[in-house]
Amino acid sequence: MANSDQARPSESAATLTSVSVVYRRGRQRVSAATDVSLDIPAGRVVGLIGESGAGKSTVLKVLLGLVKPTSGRVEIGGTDLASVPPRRAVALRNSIQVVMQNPYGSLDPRWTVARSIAEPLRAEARRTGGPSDSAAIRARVAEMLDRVRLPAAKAESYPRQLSGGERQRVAIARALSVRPRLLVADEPVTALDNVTTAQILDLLDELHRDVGLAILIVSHSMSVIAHLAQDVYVMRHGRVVESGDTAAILDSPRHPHTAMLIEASRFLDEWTDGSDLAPAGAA
Amino acid sequence: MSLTDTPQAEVTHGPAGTRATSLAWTIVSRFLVRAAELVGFLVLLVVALFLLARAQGDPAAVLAGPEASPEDVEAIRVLYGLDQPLLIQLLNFLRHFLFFDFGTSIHEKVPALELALDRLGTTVVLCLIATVINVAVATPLGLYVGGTGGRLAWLRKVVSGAVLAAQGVQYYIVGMLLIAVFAINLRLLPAIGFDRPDSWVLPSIALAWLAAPRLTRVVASAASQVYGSEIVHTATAYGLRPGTIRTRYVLPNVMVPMIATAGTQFTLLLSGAVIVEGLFGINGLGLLLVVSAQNFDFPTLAASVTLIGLIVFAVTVISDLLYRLVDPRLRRSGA
Repeated sequence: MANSDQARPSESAATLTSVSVVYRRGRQRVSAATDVSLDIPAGRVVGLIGESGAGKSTVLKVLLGLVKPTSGRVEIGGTDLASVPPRRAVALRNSIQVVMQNPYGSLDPRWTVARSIAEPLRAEARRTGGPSDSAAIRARVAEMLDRVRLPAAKAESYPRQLSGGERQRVAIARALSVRPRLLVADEPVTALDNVTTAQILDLLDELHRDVGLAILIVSHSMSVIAHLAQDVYVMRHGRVVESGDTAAILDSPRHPHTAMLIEASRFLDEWTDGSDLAPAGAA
Repeated sequence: MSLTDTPQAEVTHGPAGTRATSLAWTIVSRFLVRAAELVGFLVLLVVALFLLARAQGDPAAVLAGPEASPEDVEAIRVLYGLDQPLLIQLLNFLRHFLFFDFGTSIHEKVPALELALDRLGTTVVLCLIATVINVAVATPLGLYVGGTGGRLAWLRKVVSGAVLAAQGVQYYIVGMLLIAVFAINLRLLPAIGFDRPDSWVLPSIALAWLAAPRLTRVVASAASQVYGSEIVHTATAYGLRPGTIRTRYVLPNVMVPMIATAGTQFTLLLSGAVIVEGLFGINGLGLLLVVSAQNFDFPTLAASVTLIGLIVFAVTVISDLLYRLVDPRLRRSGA
């Protein structure tokens, strides 16, 4: 379990400063994110919570380079992406890896587990001019399978032969293979059952503690955020309405929307398994 | 709050088969299924051809010709066994059909099968070239139209609209325009025949027009789905260039709908070849089909229809195998 008392490193894994994203739909302009500032310190777990349509996915896409912000600054490891050449920006972005929500849709169904995990390694090798099919890559794949507690025999399986939890483990292994400084987990347990959800959250927490990985976990469930994140940002209608230490916010939310999210999660938890909300590190 | 740490509890679904075993299983199982389907298909074709002959009126009168006397018609009826009960006629027809014995062409006075086989090559080559053009045009256009973002996003809309407009222009109109421009005005390419490589160009383009806009839209739709998928988002996150994403992720994932559509379209091209061969004066199976129907040359008609049926069947089998080869999901799924 993450420890909220852990010393906060000064270096930042990624920072968004006053980021706004406006989409154009015909003649209309739709604002998906407005003046969002968000800091993910190195080695820290940060939660991003909000209802569907709150702008979480937009922020995530900006961070991953899938959407160009209309205004604002994106820094990775303290470097402003707009100030560096495209090749350097790609290398910087490579230090952020992602685990998507849908374990059924994020793995290429035509590829074996080993090939999926090796793909970012090969992409990195191509970019840096290194060997693309070396024993080192195979060894790294085996190491990653072990890291996410999947048997080595799964390496030659196809995604259709895996359970949802196993697929999500493969997605985590793939993301970790290139040693990112930040792992972005976009609602990584939404499509999973309760037991598998607990296992995946446990694994993410273990990775954070063991390798000092910074994690941005995006969720619409306060329970998930409470289990894992030390800091939390609450979004509504494209804006960050509240942010700070998870334990403090859970204890005394300032914004009514945050209070509503906490109350909703608490109600659902009691309704489903009788558990209650507890901040990261409280166990 | 403590969380469980027993990942072994997760369910798995059996061992992964090797690629070679999977491929061999695919080929054998599909062959057996298709062989059974072929038998059913041929029986249906026989019955359809038998009924077609009777639908033209009295077959004896048709075979004897319009100038024949009632005695001649009766002699033909006895000669060809048309005086027998209908069921006996059907069984006789089936016996001849099994040995590909369609009789002699009434119009050309040569074995009907020989005549049809002689024209088969031209039509198959025409349809194959049209298929190559179809895939070669639809693949890059579809991938472009189905893409997102980029500096020339407006151009994508223009191309998309042009493809839609192209679908509304009939291929035989295109054929006539091609003849008018490239054969008559510019005198660059021949308008008639199919005997030299330069004579292949105009009819193949006209025929490909029948299929390419539709295939482009299928590829665009599939590509759009893949571009919006989490697979592509993840690949973008590990720094792959758009071109690499296109060739490694998008193209392989649009291959199945593309092959399935192009396979189905081969049948469409065979029917289109009837018009194109007439337009460009090509002595192919399509033109033979039209002429034999006009002349009530039933043996030739039956031989031509049978050959076309077998080609359609072969193309279906090939495309079925092809898309199983490109997509491991379909190899043992029984889909």
